Amino acid sequence: MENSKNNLPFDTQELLDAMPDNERQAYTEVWELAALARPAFDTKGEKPASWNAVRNRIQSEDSDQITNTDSYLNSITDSAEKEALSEVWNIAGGIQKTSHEAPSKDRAWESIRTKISDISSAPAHTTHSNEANVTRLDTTPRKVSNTTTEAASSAKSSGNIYWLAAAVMMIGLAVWMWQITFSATVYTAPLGEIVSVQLDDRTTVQLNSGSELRVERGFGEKHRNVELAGEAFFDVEPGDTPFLVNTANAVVQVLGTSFNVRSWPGMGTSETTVALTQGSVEVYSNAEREFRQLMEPGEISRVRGVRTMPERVEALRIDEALAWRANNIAFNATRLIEAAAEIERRFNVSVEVANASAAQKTVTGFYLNPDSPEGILEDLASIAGLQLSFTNGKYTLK
Amino acid sequence: MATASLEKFSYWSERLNNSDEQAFSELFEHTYDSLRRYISKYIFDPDAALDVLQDVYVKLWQIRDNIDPDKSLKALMYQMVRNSALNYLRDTKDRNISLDSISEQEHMQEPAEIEIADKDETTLLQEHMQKWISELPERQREAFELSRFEGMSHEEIAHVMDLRPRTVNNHIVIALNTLREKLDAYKSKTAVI
Repeated sequence: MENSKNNLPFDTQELLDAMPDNERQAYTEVWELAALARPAFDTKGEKPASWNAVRNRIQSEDSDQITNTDSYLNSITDSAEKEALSEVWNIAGGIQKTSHEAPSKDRAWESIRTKISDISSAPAHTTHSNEANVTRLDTTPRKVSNTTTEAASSAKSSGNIYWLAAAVMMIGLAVWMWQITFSATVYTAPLGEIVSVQLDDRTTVQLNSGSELRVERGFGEKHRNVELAGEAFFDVEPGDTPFLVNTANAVVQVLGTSFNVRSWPGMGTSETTVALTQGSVEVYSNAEREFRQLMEPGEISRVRGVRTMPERVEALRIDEALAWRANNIAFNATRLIEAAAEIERRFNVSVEVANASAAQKTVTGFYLNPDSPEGILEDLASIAGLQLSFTNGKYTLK
Repeated sequence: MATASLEKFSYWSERLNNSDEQAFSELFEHTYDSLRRYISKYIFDPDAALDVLQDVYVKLWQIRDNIDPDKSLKALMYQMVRNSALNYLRDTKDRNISLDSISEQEHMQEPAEIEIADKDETTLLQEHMQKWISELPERQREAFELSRFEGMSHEEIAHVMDLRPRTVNNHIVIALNTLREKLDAYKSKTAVI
């Protein structure tokens, strides 16, 4: 964009900046007041419907990407719609048939992944053998294939894969050295346990099983920033320094309040869900800090992926979001694969969902203070139309 | 609702060139509310407005290969919405909706007379401002709203409204002057109390 053509201001802000002091003040007041006059326009409800329509239309136009019904079903992003249509499809053809047919996109990703497996620390998984079908990784094909391209191209440009390995080691060493120089306190809740901690500013944090809270040096003096991987309930001590909870993809900013943050790593796209019980917080994506959502008590907000605005989650209830604090388990349209991960953390057991399409099915249910995973897993199996087995210390749904 | 930065729009342009549906959905997410508001100033029938807007997004996807990341995608989108809306109005002339009647209909949409009682100072001023903006001449109002509400540069507005950037600047300067006069008059009136 050209900045100034014939000394013309770039925009109104520049027009104001160029005014003499006394003028600028008066006009800036008008300009700022005018911003408040922006009419509110409620597109709630209309927007998702409209997006679905647009998406369906562009997808039917790009029909070359949809080679068969499986790939069409796989391309549906609305999980409820996907579930409903998949069910129809499965009943029509007998469930056996489709569960062995891996979608072509996944297969393409598999072959890429196998090729780069020596530079990736995550274990490769095979889609065709039932034993090795570890759907836990739940990779989002598009997102991950971007990463793959980057990794592959940098390996190519250096010409030698060992250079890449050496570079990774150097970075690892640098990170380690940085960590010992600027030591941080890391609180961890072991699997199967819920842990409460009190921070230096008297803020209390309840950590759900398998969660990690990292507190950098200088907390309570210079800053009040913490990093969370997992799920925690915060009761923040009021103070002048803003309290910031950083997750993989989002930031929750507070002054003094109580709220729950859920952001489990390793579930594909980074996702952070915030449930506010008291006071007020601001939620925003860490890559898109200008779109902030101010929350009110009782509200639940979610940041999905990077570069996105927080979205209100209407379907989830606050007591469900906080169920874990009283040792209860709540699923509300939770994907089976996520429900399995929740049970793994809560009971410190291994649960594998060895059926890629069933893993994406959603489940709903509430368990009051359950003391063993079996009953829940049996329910999940029957909802998803799978069999539960227990071998070699591991539960398998297939 | 905040507006996305220029960098974001050029990022989306590039991703669209690569047929990135995820980026397209982000673009939709970030632009829908603004474009919905914008189109509602032309097409008052909500269902029709929705259909036209949907067509614009589909059209944008169809031309994704030809989007120039160096040009403002934002301006392109507003221009597409504006043109589609005007075409729609032209084509539905028979049904009593015509370009000529836009301003008429707009008067019907004006904010209702302000009730002075139980409203605080800021809300009151805000409502007055809304009214003053709606009273601006058509082109001035449009240029001013694109600048103020959609955060566009003069160049982008010029592109959308098919004007020269200098004319855009003139519209905005005159609009600011008018609004300042009204604000000053309002203040001197309330200061007496």
